[in-house]
Amino acid sequence: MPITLRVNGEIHELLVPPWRTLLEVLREMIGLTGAKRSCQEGQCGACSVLVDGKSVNSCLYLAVEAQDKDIRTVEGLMQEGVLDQIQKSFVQKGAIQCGFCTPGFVVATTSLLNENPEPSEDEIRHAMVGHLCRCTGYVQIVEAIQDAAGQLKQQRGG
Amino acid sequence: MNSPVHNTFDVVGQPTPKKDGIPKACGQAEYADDLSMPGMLHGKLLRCPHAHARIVRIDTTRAKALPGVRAVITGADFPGVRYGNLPQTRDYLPLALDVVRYIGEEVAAVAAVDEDTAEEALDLIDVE
Repeated sequence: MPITLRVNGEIHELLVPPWRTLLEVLREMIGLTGAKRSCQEGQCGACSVLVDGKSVNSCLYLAVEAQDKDIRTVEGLMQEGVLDQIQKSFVQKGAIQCGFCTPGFVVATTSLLNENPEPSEDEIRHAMVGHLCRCTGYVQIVEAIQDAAGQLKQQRGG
Repeated sequence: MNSPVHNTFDVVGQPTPKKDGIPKACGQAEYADDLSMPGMLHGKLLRCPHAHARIVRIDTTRAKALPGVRAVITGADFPGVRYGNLPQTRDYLPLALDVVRYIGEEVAAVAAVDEDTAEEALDLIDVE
């Protein structure tokens, strides 16, 4: 099936079998391996990407459904080679160990802070239920998200 | 700092950024599943569904005949080869030979040009 995907602002014209997931197309056809292939059943969140600003599990999202939508992956969050605030906070707060889950958490945080710029710890933990991290124990991840929210608020002049 | 003792050290008590933190935060760190090379084959393992069972016969002819399959191997390809390098794993076999001893034990392996073909070949292996 011929489809057109807009990924990180770039247009890709692709011929995709209708059963291919967005994750497979991003990783294997477009070559963006930031979104990770892990459980492939929507449990772990490592494959998260933004579709129209909302975080989705790309392993459960068919590529053909993503037509005419704005897709952003973890690679597309950096601006001109500079980390965005969420990525910076994850690095600074020690929220990364093996790093396999990190793209998913960063994408989910972007989605969360778009909707709720000042989440409470409960709201953060609730927003991250669909993400598994086997290294950090989540404490540093929650701290990184709180730090990112605080820094972004300051940058907005709040 | 909330610490009651004022910290004047440069290193002790100060956060140290992770050396590979930045590439990991950007999705640029490469993991094994992210690698892709020309001519790369994809491997899949056939695992045992039983907790304990004897292998009477394994027929790989149909799997080997599937276009795109480059190799199918079973325990018979490693007669007597034991690979464990820890005291408790000395008698491990690469693939089960006559008996499988746990659910998930590896029985056969397939290499094929892509993952779908390898997956399909697993279904064509006949184990009794």
